[in-house]
Amino acid sequence: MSKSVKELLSDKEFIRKVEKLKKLYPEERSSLLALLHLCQNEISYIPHEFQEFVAKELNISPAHIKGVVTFYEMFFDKPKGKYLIQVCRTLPCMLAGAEILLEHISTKLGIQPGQTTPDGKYTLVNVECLACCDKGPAIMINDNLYTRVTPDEFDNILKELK
Amino acid sequence: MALEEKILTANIGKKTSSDIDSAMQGGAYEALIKALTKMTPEQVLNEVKISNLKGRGGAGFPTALKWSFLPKEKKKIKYLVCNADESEPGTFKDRLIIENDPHKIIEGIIIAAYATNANAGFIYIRGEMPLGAKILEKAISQAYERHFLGKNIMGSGLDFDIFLVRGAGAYICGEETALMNSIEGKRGEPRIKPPFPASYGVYGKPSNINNVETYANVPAIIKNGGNWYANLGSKDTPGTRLFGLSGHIKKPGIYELTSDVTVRELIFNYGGGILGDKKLKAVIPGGSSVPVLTSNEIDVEMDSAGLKKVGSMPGSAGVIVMNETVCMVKALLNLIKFYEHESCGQCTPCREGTHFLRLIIEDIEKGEGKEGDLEKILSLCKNIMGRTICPLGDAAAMPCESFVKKFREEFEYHIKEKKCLPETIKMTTVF
Amino acid sequence: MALVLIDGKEIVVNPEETLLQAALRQNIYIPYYCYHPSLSIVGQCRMCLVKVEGAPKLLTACTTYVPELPKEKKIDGKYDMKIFTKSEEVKEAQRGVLEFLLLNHPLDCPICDQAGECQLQIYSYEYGNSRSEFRFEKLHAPKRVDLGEHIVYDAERCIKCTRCIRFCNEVTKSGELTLIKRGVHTYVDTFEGKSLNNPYSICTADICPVGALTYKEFRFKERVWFLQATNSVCPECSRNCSIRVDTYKGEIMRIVPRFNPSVNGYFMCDYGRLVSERIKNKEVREIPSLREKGILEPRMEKGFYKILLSKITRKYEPKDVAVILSGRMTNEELESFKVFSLIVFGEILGDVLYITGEKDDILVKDEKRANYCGAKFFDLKFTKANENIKNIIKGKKLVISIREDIFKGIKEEQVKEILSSVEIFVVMDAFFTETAKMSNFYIPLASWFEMEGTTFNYDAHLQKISKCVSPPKGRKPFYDVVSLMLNLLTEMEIKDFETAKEKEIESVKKVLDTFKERDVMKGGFVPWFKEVKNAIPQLKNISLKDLAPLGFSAKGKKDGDN
Ligand SMILES: Cc1cc2nc3c(=O)[nH]c(=O)nc-3n(C[C@H](O)[C@H](O)[C@H](O)COP(=O)(O)O)c2cc1C
Ligand code: SF4
Ligand code: SF4
Ligand code: SF4
Ligand code: FES
Repeated sequence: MSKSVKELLSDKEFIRKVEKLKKLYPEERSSLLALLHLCQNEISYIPHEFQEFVAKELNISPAHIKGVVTFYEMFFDKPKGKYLIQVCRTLPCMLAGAEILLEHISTKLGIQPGQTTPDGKYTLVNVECLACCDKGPAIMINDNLYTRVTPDEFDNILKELK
Repeated sequence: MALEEKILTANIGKKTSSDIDSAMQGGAYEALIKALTKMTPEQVLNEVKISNLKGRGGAGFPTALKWSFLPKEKKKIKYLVCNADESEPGTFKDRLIIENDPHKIIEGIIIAAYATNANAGFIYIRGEMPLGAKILEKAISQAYERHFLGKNIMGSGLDFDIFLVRGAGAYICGEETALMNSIEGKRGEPRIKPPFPASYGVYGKPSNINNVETYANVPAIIKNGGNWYANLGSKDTPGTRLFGLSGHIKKPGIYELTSDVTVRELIFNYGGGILGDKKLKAVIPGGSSVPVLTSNEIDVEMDSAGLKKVGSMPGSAGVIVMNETVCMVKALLNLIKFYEHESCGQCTPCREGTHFLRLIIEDIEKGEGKEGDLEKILSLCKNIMGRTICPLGDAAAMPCESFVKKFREEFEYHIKEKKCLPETIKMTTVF
Repeated sequence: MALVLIDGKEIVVNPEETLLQAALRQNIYIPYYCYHPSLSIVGQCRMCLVKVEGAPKLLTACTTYVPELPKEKKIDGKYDMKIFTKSEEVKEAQRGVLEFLLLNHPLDCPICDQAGECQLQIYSYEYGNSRSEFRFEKLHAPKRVDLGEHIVYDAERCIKCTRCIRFCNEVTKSGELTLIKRGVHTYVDTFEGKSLNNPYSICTADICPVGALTYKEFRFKERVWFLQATNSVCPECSRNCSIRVDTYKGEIMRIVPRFNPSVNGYFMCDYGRLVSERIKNKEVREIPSLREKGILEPRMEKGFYKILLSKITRKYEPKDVAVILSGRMTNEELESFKVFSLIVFGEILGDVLYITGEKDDILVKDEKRANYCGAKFFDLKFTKANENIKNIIKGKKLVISIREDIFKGIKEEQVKEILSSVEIFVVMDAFFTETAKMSNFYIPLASWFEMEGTTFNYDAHLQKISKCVSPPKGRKPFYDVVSLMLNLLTEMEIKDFETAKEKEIESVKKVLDTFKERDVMKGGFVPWFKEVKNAIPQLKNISLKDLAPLGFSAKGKKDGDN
């Protein structure tokens, strides 16, 4: 189980990371995306409390942060599964068989794109072109890229996920 | 016949090519040292100008000319930006360089900084490339260790830093001004131009932006001279490009070739022909945003002049091949969904137009198309093209217009018969 | 400065203005949505596309600046740019943008508050296609969202022009609003638990070109085309924001800011705007009332004033009299007060109650009444705020309070204590206030929105207030009350009141009687000033020059009537 946002914000190590990121760029506000990534890496999503925290840290309005979080596809403002399965749906992968793969995954996990399994383990989403079109169908599970994923191959990958 | 010169991929394939020692064994930073020790900034700029290097991000803008737009005053803060957002469907070339030869990019950026007197650089890498980000981060820190970055680089007097920024999933952040907004921690909404980045870029400071592959070409140009480069292959787009073959092709992948290669050669000589030994039906030659070609239009070279003859352009050199089993309505629906999803939503024609186009094309695909729909698609395209803040509007309209115009019979069949052409009912896949 | 030929007409475009700004300034209309003169330029709606000769694409007029061409490059030897706003290409683009905007728009005009003043409705009529070909289901988005205390948002009607967002970022700098999501799914939102509650929030509804932002105090009240508009001025602080008061059947439906570059620009604060709502909840009494046997009883006007005059005219030493005046009184009321005071008490009395409060650096001033500057101009004495009421009244026998609720919030026993020495307590006010209820004589006055007059703002900027609604017969502007009393005085025989004064009364009466017809704003400030000087001998020594520190010499002329 990952930390709560309260725990996160009282974790000295985490705050040190925040401070470091804030100083990383010529102007503080440039660290916004990095800070949001950081939070999401730690607790899998970006709760409003964290958005408000960042707003204060960077002296930006909370509404602005919300605008940013909701703009970028990779940011989640609601909890998601332990494994985020992103299936590329764009033309080159579609030509390689992405639709068949997606259907397979969908049936296998019993969820539609945009949904999370009831046990909170998997969230399935469609993504746009992952820039590995020569090796489609491509999927990403959390930070890992998998290529040439056939339905069978996916089943193997799934077995590896704890 | 196209040349297979290895400019960008020379080190690729070697183990640990992303490590600085290995890269330096392959000649990395030699060009930088040459520039810093034997050339003036003006000479560097001039070599790039002579080379006639064109931007590899999609628009093919002359690189030296773009650099020369930056203000000359030494005192003014200037930024260089490297566009590593690579998100154009069918494009996967930058990933190759980033993950395998990051020092080539860094070296190119530092040379550009020397030529333009820039103070700092940003590499904006798309969020879905965490591995690439890690590799770049390490490469940048190695470059600092070897004093290729930082204060007074190699005693040349040049101070230059590189910052790495990770995106978070937005195709539009590949557009140069959206990317700058994103660097500033904002929504990735393109800015109105003018003012152009050369006068108002990152943090409102003069900035130059180039694609990964563009910067990666610079070291070779400095090492071998602009003339050498200008004479490689195509007149209008000299040098090599990383052509990305994907879709229904036997040997998909990246091919480094000069731009005088024809589409046919690319597909049949290099790509090994069509997957499933079927007939070729259509090719998108330069990433999904450029107009599609029919199988009769592939005897042209992959440069601007060649593709112009068949109403298209080289774009990002991502070549998407479709065989006869592809339903063009379905393929277009896939693309328009992409643009609808990636429109930032700022301007009316793109925000609403991509949605409208998707609805109509979806109807046709479902067998619910109506008479007049094709005319409607064309008129919507007209109302989007050239009427938006950034080129995403055009990028969405161009495939729609070209698909409908070039494959009109198939679209009409769909509307009339309410189903796919018989041969496209079962599409070839890789498995 | 560039010369531009626009649809065959020559206009001048200054270096710092865009083509759209220059065109509008010179009365050439180009349709637009996202542009707003007091907000940054974003070029998002694409409604203002025009054809620029030589440009490959249509350009947005709102983002186009016109540099001067060198002589040899001028078009037709003279122009820096040639523009077409009505060519077929431009018309097609306008139709296109409107079609796009209507795509997901609910078209619920019959139940939309904005109907009648909606730019989408208006442009569709003027620039749009007559028929819509949309056969698809419209996207659904949040409706009736409470963005704040006053503002309600309908995302389906929203055209994403971002005016409201820019307003909150750039004018109030409070940044409550943002666009969320992207593409066709974008809409305006606030952060969780942080609503749109800045002091100017209702301005977002003003600048919203469609019916996406409305405010609760006006929602569904009345269709705008039934409203009658009257120009006036906000009474709630010394900024004197220019306003338009919209009424229906004698009732104020809403107040909106009226553009006035030298006073308030395009905006006004919510507090000022909602004055009409606050007034509505106030108790009124329309008939003069007299306390008898402890009860304030309504009386016939003439009899009432006769009793009052017989009790106060020259009955008290000036030192035994306190008159509390208000910055809510117009110049005309202040002027007539001086006349009244001179005649009835033999000298000019009066303490203007000086009420201050919070200010901001946008519009709201610390002086919480409209016309303190006028009171300064009439050379009246000021007394600071409520705590000094006691001192003003202490030991007095006759107290008159005009347009101030001086005992508001003070306990009755305390009020009685303050009034212990007072024999006669006269209250004149538009509302039957707590103070009024303590009086022996209550005179109902017309409210700010029920009379004509003029007011000076903090910067000595003169503006006209108008009778937006008619007061019931019993409620009069203070100058009418004075005029009525002076009429009665000439009829009445009052001991100690020399007949010599009668002549004076006659002459001032004439001046007072002309108040109603007199239009200071039209005649100009100087003749009016002269007239006032003649009517009030004490003012004789003041010259226009003396008023220079107040800024009169430069201003004081007609303005703000747009
Ligand atoms: C919607 C859109 C997406 C783009 N995506 C990318 C991209 O992912 N990578 C890139 O290098 N250029 C991209 N571009 C082009 C950039 O705006 C810009 O022209 C380019 O980075 C300039 O570099 P170059 O001169 O080296 O080609 C995109 C443009 C648009 C309009
Ligand atoms: S064209 Fe599309 S992506 Fe570009 S600014 Fe307009 S809405 Fe955004
Ligand atoms: S609510 Fe109104 S002002 Fe705000 S973006 Fe929508 S249409 Fe524009
Ligand atoms: S700023 Fe003052 S004058 Fe203007 S609306 Fe507000 S209260 Fe009224
Ligand atoms: S007014 Fe010009 S684009 Fe909106």
